[in-house]
Amino acid sequence: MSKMLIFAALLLILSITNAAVYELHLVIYKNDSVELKDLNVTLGSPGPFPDAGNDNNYEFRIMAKDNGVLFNQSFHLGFVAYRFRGPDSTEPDVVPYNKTDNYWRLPYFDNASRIQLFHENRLIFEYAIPEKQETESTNAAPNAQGGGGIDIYLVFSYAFALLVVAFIIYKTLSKPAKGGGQA
Amino acid sequence: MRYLCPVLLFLLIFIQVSMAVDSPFSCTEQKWHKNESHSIIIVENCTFNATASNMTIEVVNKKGGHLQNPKEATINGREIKYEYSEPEIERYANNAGILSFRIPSSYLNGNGENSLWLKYEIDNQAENGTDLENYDFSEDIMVYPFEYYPSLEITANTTPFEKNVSTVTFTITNRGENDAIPDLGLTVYSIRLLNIRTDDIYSLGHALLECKDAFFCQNASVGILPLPFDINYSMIPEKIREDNELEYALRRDLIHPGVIIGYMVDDYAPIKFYLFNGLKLEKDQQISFSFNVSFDSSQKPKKMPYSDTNVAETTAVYPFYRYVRNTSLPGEYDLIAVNVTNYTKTFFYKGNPRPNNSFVYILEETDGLIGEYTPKHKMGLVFVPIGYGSNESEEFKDVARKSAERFVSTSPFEECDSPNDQIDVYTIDPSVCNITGCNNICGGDDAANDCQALVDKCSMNIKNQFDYIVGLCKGTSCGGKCGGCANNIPSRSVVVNTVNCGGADASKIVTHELGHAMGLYHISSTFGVNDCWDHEGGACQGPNAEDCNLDDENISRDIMAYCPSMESYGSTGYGYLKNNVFLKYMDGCYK
Repeated sequence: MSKMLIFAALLLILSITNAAVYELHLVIYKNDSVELKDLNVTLGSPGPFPDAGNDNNYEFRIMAKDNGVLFNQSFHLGFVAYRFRGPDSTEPDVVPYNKTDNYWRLPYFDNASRIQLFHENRLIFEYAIPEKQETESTNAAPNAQGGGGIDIYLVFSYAFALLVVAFIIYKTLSKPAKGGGQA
Repeated sequence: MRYLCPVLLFLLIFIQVSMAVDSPFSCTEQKWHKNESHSIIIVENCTFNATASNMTIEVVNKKGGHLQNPKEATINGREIKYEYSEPEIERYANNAGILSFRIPSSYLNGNGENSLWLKYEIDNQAENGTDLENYDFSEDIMVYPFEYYPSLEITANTTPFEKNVSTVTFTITNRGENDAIPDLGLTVYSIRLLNIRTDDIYSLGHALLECKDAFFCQNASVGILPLPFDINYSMIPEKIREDNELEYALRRDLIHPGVIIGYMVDDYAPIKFYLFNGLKLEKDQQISFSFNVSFDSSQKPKKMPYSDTNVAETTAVYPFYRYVRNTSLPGEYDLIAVNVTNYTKTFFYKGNPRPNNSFVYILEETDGLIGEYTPKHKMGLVFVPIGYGSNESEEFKDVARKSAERFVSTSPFEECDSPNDQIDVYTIDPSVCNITGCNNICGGDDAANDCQALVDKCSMNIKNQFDYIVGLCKGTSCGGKCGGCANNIPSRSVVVNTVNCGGADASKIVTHELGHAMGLYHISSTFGVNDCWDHEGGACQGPNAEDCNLDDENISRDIMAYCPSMESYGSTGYGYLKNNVFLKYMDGCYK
């Protein structure tokens, strides 16, 4: 039981430390205008990215300070919806629209400097990550400074502290078993 | 001595010049003697400008004499931790010491003007006889932004797993402008041997690491980390004997230069292999070393029940590194301390396209060990409720479950041994987002009534990786008409009204919309054949266009047609899904 508890704690910790992402709330217009509604660093997993294989026409890139590409992810947007309608409906099946309003999760990098969005290889959006925001943001870290941001160093520190606690629990619980186990 | 003095003088001048560039400190200094110990207590009040997001401050006693316990230190009134180290004699005077303070960016003032208060203690006299009483210690404070450290380019490549062996090759190149500082630490290497398949965890038996680079390996010392603590290599056997609950089988017979260790995995914790050898890299110097990673089956694996489905880990090799400034074991920091370029990640995201330097999924070819297959990826579906009250959670989840089951049973997942294990289904309780309804099921410019945007936003409550969002609207709470809508082809979200539509229930409409989400277009049916109602818009194009050439009977069963049957995807559409969209979710899963 104690092992399971420790393991659960370990996996929990790992899941915390391994899952920092940028979460962008973007409105992308058909005319290539892009509106950034919000950006946070939070916990989660990247995606989802609608994939049309070779026909992907948009691409996210995360750039490093030295202009290296830390991450790139292509995806497809088409600005046309497809409806399933009933036999008596006269609504259109193919519905064009002008904008998408989505939340995009991209992997977090400590040395990221810019987040870019390309449409058919043309840069249509770029966000320069502020120095401070590289390590701070969102409401995921209750003890972070300066407005409640997440600090990756703090996350690791917390993770380490939790590991210490887990180890102490482990040692504490394992001692009686060494003497012959429980009655 | 005659030669040593000029060398030391040169070093001091070099350091002074470096300091003139690097140190932004302006300090006033107070000091007094502790007569009983013949030491000097020094208090520094410094101001400094710092714009680096993270930085390290070092207090270096270049004059010699032991730099003792640092006592107290604050940045802008906040206490900071320190690390003490003994630098190499070539760099500083004998018995000098370094206090390192790692300063998180959150400790720095936004205007860049910061204050450092520091109290430390130092021997009155250096071992070489230098009297330190009148020495200006304020010059000993230096600041190193992280960029000062060598910029390491680290790549980790893995070979496909063949006959239980995979080779992992690390290449480390110092791209920094500076020569490597003394005691540049080592890459840390980790192997996780967890095989999490849905709710289960398996142990694997012995894992063997064979270090292939003679120079590197023979000079390395090894630490193993079954629990999250550094355990000295030489301590492991004693640790095993001391605590039988840790069933670590250290195979001493395997230990010789070049072969690191054999290891039995019988605990639930990930394992980390640490290597330290005081490696130094000059600018542009590159070192490459590799390991063979293998398993044997001498230890029969056990199946471990585990029920936390939120854990989305799988078996993998996780290379990672750690930067250490001296040979002592590092502290809790440093996993992200080095400015590393071109190193993809220390982990991967399930379901996300793998980085170029992808890591091995160890179990791919070791199914024989456990008799079951471990999928690389699972498709993730998030069901978002619209129009359901907080007391209707079960009703919503029931529709979601049936929809997921029908989707799995009609999809290529049906060809897998355990179709339902290929998919992660997440449902969000109605009380989380409280979406009561929306007018435009397909999207649109009115954000408040954009059903697609509403479910997209709500899906962010799921932190796990997922691929598609399915909005389920009670009755016709999305737009007032039966049916559904896919935001695009392909798309990340679809929305479905749960009311029966033309004889098709919600679960069938979900399969139709997910077909769109995965790239399929409409198939044109014939009015009246098996109650089909025809007039599918935008039909007969895209990857499943050929399905329009099927006969009317077959088309009437096609999920992508306007027919109530919706039994299966057309043969061409199904083939497209199987060989494209589902491919990454199905490796080895075919019967």
